[in-house]
Amino acid sequence: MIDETEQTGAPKPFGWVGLFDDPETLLRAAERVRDAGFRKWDCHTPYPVHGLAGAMGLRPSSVPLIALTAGFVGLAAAVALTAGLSVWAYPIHVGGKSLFSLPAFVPIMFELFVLFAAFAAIGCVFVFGRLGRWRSPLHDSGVMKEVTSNRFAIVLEAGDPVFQKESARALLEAAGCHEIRPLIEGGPGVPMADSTEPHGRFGGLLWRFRPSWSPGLFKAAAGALVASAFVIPLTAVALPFIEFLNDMAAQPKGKAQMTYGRLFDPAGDGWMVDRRAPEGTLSRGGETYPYADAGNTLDVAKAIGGKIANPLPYTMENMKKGRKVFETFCITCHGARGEGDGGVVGPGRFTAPPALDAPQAREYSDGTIFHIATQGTEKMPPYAEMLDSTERWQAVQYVRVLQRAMNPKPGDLDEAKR
Amino acid sequence: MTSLDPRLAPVPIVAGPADPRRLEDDVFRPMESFPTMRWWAAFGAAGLLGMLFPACIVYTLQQGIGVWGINRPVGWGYAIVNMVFWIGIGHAGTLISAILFLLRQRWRTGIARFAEAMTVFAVICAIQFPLFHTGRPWLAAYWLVPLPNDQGIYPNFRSPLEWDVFAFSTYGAVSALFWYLGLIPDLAAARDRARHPLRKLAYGLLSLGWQGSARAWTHYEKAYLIFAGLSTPLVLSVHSIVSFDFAVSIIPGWRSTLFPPYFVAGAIFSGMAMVATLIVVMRSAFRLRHIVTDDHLDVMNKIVLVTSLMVSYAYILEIFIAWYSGSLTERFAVTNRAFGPYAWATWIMVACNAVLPQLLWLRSFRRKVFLLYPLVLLVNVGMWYERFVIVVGSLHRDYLPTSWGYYRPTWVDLGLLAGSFGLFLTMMLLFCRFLPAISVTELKSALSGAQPSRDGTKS
Repeated sequence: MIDETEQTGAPKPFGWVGLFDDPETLLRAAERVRDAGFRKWDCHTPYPVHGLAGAMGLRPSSVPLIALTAGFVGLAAAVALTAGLSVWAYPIHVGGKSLFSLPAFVPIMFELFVLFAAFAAIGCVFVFGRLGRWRSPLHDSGVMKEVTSNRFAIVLEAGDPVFQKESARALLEAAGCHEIRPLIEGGPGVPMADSTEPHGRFGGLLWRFRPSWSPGLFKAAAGALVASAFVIPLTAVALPFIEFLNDMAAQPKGKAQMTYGRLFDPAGDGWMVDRRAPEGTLSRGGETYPYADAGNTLDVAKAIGGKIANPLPYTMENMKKGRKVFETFCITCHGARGEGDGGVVGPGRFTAPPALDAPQAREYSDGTIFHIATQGTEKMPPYAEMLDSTERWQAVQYVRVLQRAMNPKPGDLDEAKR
Repeated sequence: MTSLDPRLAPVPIVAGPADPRRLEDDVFRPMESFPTMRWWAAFGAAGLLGMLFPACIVYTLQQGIGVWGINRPVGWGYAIVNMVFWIGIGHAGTLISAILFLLRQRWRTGIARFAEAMTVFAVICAIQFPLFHTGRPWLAAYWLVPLPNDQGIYPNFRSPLEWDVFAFSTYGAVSALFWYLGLIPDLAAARDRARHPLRKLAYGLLSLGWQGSARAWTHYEKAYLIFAGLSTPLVLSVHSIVSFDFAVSIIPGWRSTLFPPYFVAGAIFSGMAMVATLIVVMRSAFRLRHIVTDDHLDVMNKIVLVTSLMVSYAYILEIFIAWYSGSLTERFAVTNRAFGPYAWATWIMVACNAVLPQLLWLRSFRRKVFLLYPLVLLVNVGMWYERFVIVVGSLHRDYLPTSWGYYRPTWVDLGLLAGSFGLFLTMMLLFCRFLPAISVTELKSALSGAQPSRDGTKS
């Protein structure tokens, strides 16, 4: 049968499988195969058979050593974790006691020893036992079915240097094996008994596409592992920011650094939070402004300027208060001397306002400046909400002072001398 | 050979004829046949009860844990009682699968898988309680695990509660891996028996393509031994650390060096009783009386009896230490337990854990289901009350008489307790239907004639 498949060139022969009914014969056969010098061969049993490893000449398992090493790695990791965090990253001082309190860390050290050793042990079974191969000639030929239901098998692989078709078969026969079958790589050696049974399209498809142990699958699994190493911590970092049931968290109160209300774009310079009072509101003890609805263009301001007179006398005290107001509110844009060079002005920031001591500004009446301060104009926001009318009038007086100071007259020096 | 007293003979692996194929058929029958009406009824009832758990949890998360009965001075109520109870239930599984394996007790073969499954599910139930006790478990990631965070705050590794995090997670992981390691060959058998491609695929994937190779077996057996060796101290450490939650504190009635061994014995006591409770039902429902025999019940009940004596000894010792220490608060705590507002709970505990199990000295009580069943049920009740007495009995009377109080559970507490039982039973019922409840591989390997009469030697 091996010959035929070789000639047709289709599936490659994998080797011979000899089936046994009792462990006794298997053990004897295993010894003969071992003595014949085979390397690529294996026994398959439904349960561990005592003494089989010796009969096969297998070396003792290295699982204990690896598990022990992993355990000590876990122990070291626990020391690093507990001591590193308790001594350096987040030291908690309790009554002047030592930060490196080893006895208190023993439970965690022990647990991580066990955890690492356990993972290493099961990892060894997976890797050394060559698990994760869902397709193999044994599965495909149905031999595995017989093994798990209490038969014993010896597989001699064709890839072994001492393997020769007839002599290998003869070896199994001589060892007392009465049932020898060829195994074929990459396909069923014998038709699977129940693969033809109808099980619905979905189930059949699933079975056909069961994973095979391939580099691609391995890479996918490794990739998933690495990805989860990133995804899991990231998820953990994101978790505190996700509200699952937000009854307790979402409360109708203001929080720092948050925007409330709508955003508006007062002058096309950029969106800002709308802090303007709703239409028609009047602050407690507040005052109404008769020209609130007149508009805020410069022309309106000039027109209205004539209608309102400055109610405050020009006194030193008023001018000083005006200076205070100016240097609190106006200075940011207009600058200390009203030249339009305030701190927020600059390329990529706010546009510079016109200089306050420009000739046309000096010709404005007090009322015009007052109206601008109240209602704003062009890019300037209104200040009626922040300053009461007295403060605005005082600011107007200080603007006058600035205008005067920025435009000295020849006689000023004489006055100072005198 | 001197004739051996039959009562001292080792428990046989199976009763009756030891035909491996028949045994395999018997074990796999529940997995391969359509569930009976009785199973559906049990599953429906357990599932409905289990639904209470998520329902109460959602309500708790929505409202905050103020809906539980806890408050000053009893800040640890049912949640901690249930946590200790469930984690204790799990300990019998590890005892059977690891300690009895190391002690070469062959009779464990028939019940080990079932008990291990119980362990895994009990740990799942147990961790729910401390997790939701934190109030906002999605934030608890930072409180429990040392995750790097922008506030630079880390858990206190000197706290027994933090030790719990490591102990529980290690215990859960190692138990689940141990369980799975044992399942692999059986899952391979299930795969090869499966006729439906879907089952074939599921068991095929789960069995990791197991081929029963002798090379794999050598590593497998070593790994199994290592798991047993690791689980043995692990199981002792877990309940010791749980007891540290209490013993490391300064609350009278808790601050005792007696606690670790006392807790471990109590855990095995309650766990073994729970195994007996469930396996009696399982073996009759799935006709496995020839694998889980009366002899098994006999041995298990002997362990229940021994651990009951240990627990009783601890009860007595607590009283002795309270007197011998000369500490007024300790004395008060002990007398308050026995005669205070929660005296009823204490006496339930003493009756169920120390007095009634003495009936197990009688052979018939160890073997006859109708006699032992009420007994093991009451042991479960008693062990729950033991944790209740420890937690609530100590907290409701602390140092300041002004803050004394009386703890009453709310309906949410009761719902969570009942729901956790529903959850546990649902998982057990599903386990019996989808996974081999008895380790066929181990059973086969232990039958007579299963092993060669001589060892293979390098001739």
